[in-house]
Amino acid sequence: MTQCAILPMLDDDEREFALGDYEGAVARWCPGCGDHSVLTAVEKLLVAEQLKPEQTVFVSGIGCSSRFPHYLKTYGFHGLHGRALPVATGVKLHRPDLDVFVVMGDGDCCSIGAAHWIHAIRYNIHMVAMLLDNSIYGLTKKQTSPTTPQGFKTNTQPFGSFLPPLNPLTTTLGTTNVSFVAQTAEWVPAHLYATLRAAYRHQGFSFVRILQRCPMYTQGMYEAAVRDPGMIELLVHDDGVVAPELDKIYRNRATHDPSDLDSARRLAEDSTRIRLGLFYRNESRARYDLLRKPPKVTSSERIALLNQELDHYAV
Amino acid sequence: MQSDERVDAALSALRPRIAAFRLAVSGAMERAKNTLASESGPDQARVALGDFAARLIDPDRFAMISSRFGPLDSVSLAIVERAVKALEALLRAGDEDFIVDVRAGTSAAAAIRARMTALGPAFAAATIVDLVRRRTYDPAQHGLPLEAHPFQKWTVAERRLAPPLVIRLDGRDLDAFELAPLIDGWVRLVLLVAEPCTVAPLARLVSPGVFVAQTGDMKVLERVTDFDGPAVIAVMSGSEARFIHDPRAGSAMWQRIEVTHMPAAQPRKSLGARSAWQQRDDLSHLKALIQQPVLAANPAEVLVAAGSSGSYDPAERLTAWLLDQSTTDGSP
Amino acid sequence: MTAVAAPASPELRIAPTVLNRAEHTIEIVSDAGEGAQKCGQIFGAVSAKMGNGVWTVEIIPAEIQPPPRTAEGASGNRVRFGTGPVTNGGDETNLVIAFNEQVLLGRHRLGALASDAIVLLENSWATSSNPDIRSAWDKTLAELSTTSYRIIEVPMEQQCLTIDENPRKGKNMFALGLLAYIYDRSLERIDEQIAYAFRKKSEEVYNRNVALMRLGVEWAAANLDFRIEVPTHPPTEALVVMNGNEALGMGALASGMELCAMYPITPATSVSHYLAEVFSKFGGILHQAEDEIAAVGVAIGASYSGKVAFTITSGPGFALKTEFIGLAVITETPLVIIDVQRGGPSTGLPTKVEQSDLLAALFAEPGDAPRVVIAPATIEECFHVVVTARQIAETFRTVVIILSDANLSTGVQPFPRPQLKKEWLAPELDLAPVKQGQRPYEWDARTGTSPRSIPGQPGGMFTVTGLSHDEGSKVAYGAGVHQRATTMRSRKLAVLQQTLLRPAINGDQDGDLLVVGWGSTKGAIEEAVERARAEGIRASSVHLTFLSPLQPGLKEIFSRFRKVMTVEINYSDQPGDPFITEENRRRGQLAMLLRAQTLCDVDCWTRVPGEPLRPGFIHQAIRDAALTLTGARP
Ligand SMILES: Cc1ncc(C[n+]2csc(CCOP(=O)(O)OP(=O)(O)O)c2C)c(N)n1
Ligand code: SF4
Ligand SMILES: [Mg+2]
Repeated sequence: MTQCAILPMLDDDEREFALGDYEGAVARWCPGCGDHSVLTAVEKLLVAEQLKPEQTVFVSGIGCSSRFPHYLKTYGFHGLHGRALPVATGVKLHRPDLDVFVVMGDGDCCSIGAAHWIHAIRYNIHMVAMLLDNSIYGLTKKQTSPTTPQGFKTNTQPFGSFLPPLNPLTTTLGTTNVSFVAQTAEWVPAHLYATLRAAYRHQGFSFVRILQRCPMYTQGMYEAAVRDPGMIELLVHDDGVVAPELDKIYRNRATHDPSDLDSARRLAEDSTRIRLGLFYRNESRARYDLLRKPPKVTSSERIALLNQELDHYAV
Repeated sequence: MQSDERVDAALSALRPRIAAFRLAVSGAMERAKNTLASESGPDQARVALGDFAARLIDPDRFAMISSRFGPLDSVSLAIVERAVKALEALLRAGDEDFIVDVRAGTSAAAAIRARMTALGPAFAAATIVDLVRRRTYDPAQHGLPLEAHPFQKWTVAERRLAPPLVIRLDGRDLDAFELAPLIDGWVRLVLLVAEPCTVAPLARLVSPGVFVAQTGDMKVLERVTDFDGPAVIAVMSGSEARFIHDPRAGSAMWQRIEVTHMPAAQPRKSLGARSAWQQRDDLSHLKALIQQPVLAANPAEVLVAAGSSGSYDPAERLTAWLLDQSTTDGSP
Repeated sequence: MTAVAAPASPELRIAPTVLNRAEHTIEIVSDAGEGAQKCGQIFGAVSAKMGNGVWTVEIIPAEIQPPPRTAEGASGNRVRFGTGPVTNGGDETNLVIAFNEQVLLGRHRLGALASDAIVLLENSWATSSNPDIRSAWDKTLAELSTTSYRIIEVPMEQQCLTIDENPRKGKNMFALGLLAYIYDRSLERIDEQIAYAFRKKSEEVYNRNVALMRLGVEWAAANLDFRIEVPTHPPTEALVVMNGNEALGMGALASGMELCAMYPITPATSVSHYLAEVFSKFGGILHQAEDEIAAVGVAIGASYSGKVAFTITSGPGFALKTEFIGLAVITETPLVIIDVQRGGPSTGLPTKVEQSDLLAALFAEPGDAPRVVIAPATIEECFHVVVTARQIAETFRTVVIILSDANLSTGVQPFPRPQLKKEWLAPELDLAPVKQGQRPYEWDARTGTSPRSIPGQPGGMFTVTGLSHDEGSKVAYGAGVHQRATTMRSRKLAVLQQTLLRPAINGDQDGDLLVVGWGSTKGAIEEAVERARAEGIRASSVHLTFLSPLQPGLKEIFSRFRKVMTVEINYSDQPGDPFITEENRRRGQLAMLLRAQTLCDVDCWTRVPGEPLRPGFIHQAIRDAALTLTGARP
């Protein structure tokens, strides 16, 4: 791990950050694309938590959703399709002082990057991982993704997707050492924001599946749910995602203690209603980033240690 | 004065913070030395490229690529050399530099400030070196003090690297109000208090982000090793109040404070600059802090129970409240 | 075959004959798991410490636990040592200690042994209660009796049983004792080395091993009629002795890198075994990722956020990393990749040497992805190369690939103890604010380089992207932008090339034949060239360390020789093959590169034997090439 040497902060560091301080390039998603709402919620979170732009890194893969970092004025890494999590892991292992957010699409996370996804859950390194799940490959124009509903027609499975969709929640909740799993929907901004805030504050790997509308290729997929709050069920608990402003609109509520993994797994199974809320949180899980924190070593100490090493091999 | 064992124990508990400060100083010094060394151009490139490059790479040509900046002017060179000297002096600092002895009857805060001012040049030197390296150093604008750099001028980042201090002082000279301005960043003040002392001298310093303790147990010092914020701990041996305020222990004040001892008697005599009334008021303040909301219970007892687990059982709360209703004495 | 009956009693013995040799090559071969490698390693280390030039290679069976007593299962160590420096594994073995006749047979059939080799063979098998074993013994000894080896039967098991009830475990130390006697090695140094080899075991284990070793010495003194003297020159400078993978690992420590992400793969893994033990003391993290893709991704993430990080792998893993390598190139994220090559393609020869990854290292990604490729040629270079690689990676914001191979990874050689320098270490992170207005890729047209800012630096916020981008890291697909960015990334190599020195020529500066090599073959090539020159052949050699960019002056150097020929451990079609014509011939990888880069008619002599090229074979190839030259002469 890299030590923080004395930081010569010439301009004073008691800055206050407003929305404008986080705004990057103009977002180029389709009008009505759910990714816009996620960006708004994230910007709000950055302001609320006053994250230093230079101490914040957004890592993404490839896809519509992975354009995300470009639209923020923090550090960003727009890398390879499916490979955001390894990059984020490297950043966080080397620089635990940084706040790391990961943005992935459903193809990105659950298909090509699935191996990294499973292992990132197990590593439980402190970061927020957002799955922007539009149930379709957006950028490459409407191919079946692992989360595409069975029977949904796409360009690669034009007679309807063959298999039932993979459930990212049960997958995550079924993985050893899982520590934070939540689901939210981008069309419920208050819930989205409250979920992201809880995820940010969680000490460990926070996995947030964000149901996301893609008016371009999956138009109508969530239309009913958007219009009819009755199709949604909120998981509520004092320790869960708390968004009182939703009380009036969303009347279906299930009390769920996020420390109860069995119940979380049951609730995460597919159901007629879309469940939003915090499924699971456990801050006492092993954290790879904490377990792997090496001591800080000066260069003189390094040289001395290496000389000791060489002594073992000396002739 | 205190026995040296307490000093040793305090120093050893603060070791990680001392190491962090030293590491910061040595890091700054290395960069300063690199800055000077890189002035030699090709030589520096030759060494840095390693032995493997000896017959492969022309260091002169490589140096032209690797050095981003032109050569240093003499003023800049001189200031970096001074910075190196300042940093070297600080690196030589032994444990005694982290110990402050407050002469009886003098201001503890003034002594602490003086020590911080003396250790502060580490930060000024680091800043100077970076300015020089970027070729943006301007003597007129950045006349940074390499001999003395008072705490008021430390930046947020510098305050987070503040050297921890062990302060030996007379209980009479402990004045929380004087210390307050020094509590910031990752400041660690461990006060080894010689009796007599007022009953709750640190109560006034309790605020949401500060770790504050009055204790007889050196082990408490270990709790602040990783605490992300400032900490003030008085180590005392008399009958004063014993409490720990740990900002991590809960969201409400009463959850964060753990009181293990409350003096039986109310102070009746003045001590040092503090009148008896003031001392009683310190104590009242402490008691007010641990007051639970809605259901006021006997704070000292309930909080010892609730404070450690952080969880909070309503039934327990009710019992405590009922008990409290049945006793009428002692409450302020 | 001349089997020697041991003299009846030691008192009757006449003093042993002392054979004087400038160098000797020994082998200890056994079934896997019998510890022959430890015996060889200790013998090699002690010889180095006493002042012999040494090169040790492992003899590794393909399987972890091959069936016992099989010709294919031979496992052990081969040590070539001499009075002068030894730069390679050499040709044939002069003395073998074999724990059973089958592993001996395996080595015999591979042609590993010199025709007059001395063989010390465990003979307990001859009297085994198992008739199959007895008949295998008889058959094998009959087969070997047609050779002129001098086979000496040694009752190893019988002797070891006097100390250890499990002789399978103790024979290696007994064998070490035999060697100690024969070559007059210092017993104190051997004790020391045993203590180090078993440092994680109990005192009792150490004592038993020392006792077994001394027993071997005593037996040899009582029973052997010869000793061999390979004079030592106590070293004048401080030396260290280690294998190439340990050297790479230590080099990484010396370079100040702080994160290595990897996925286990032979023959690279042992670098990580070494680092796993020590890295955290140095403030480093060895991260075993879920696969090679993740490994390089983690390294890139770390590099992007601070000090240059590295990943280590071998061919199959390298293949998986290519997409990420392209990303590092286009985002100009410095990165060091160590590829310890093995035989390919696919799983290929996991434990055996090959130099088949050269072109993959240069060109594996789609798109134009210029990067630096360096090949250390010796164990010593394995140490130092990492320091240089990190420095180049950082200076040029580029990917540096280090090509080692299975020969270097397990080869053990003494070399001067590195004089460590603080300047080698990656400097502490500089998180100072970025100069106002500085863009993410402010390419200096004179060098192609640009200053790098890392997270934590105020004012430097930007998003790196694998998409085509301009100086501001703004995604831009315009023709001009892509052309310019691609030019700048390429320019870095051009500029690096201009800092490189011409390669030195080994031998005369001009002549008939120039042999060009790269990587671990250096010692064998130079030895072969020397032998050829001693015969009057006008041959010289050049060894290339930088493969990308190539060192300057090659074309001009080539023009001074009538024929230029690469020697490589990778595949090329043989010119005599009836299927092969000048037009369809596939050539060695360096040969292809040099032909493209210099337009010279570079020939090649390459083999993929799954073992290091022997100097004797290269020597023969040089003779053949010289013959065609003189034959072509009117
Ligand atoms: C290795 C690789 N394979 C395939 C692609 C092509 N590709 C780009 S994005 C994408 C899928 C995008 O879908 P998703 O991850 O769900 O993101 P979305 O666009 O829906 O946000 C694919 C297949 C690629 N860029 N790289
Ligand atoms: S294609 Fe779909 S996911 Fe992509 S930007 Fe358009 S609406 Fe959004
Ligand atoms: Mg998608």
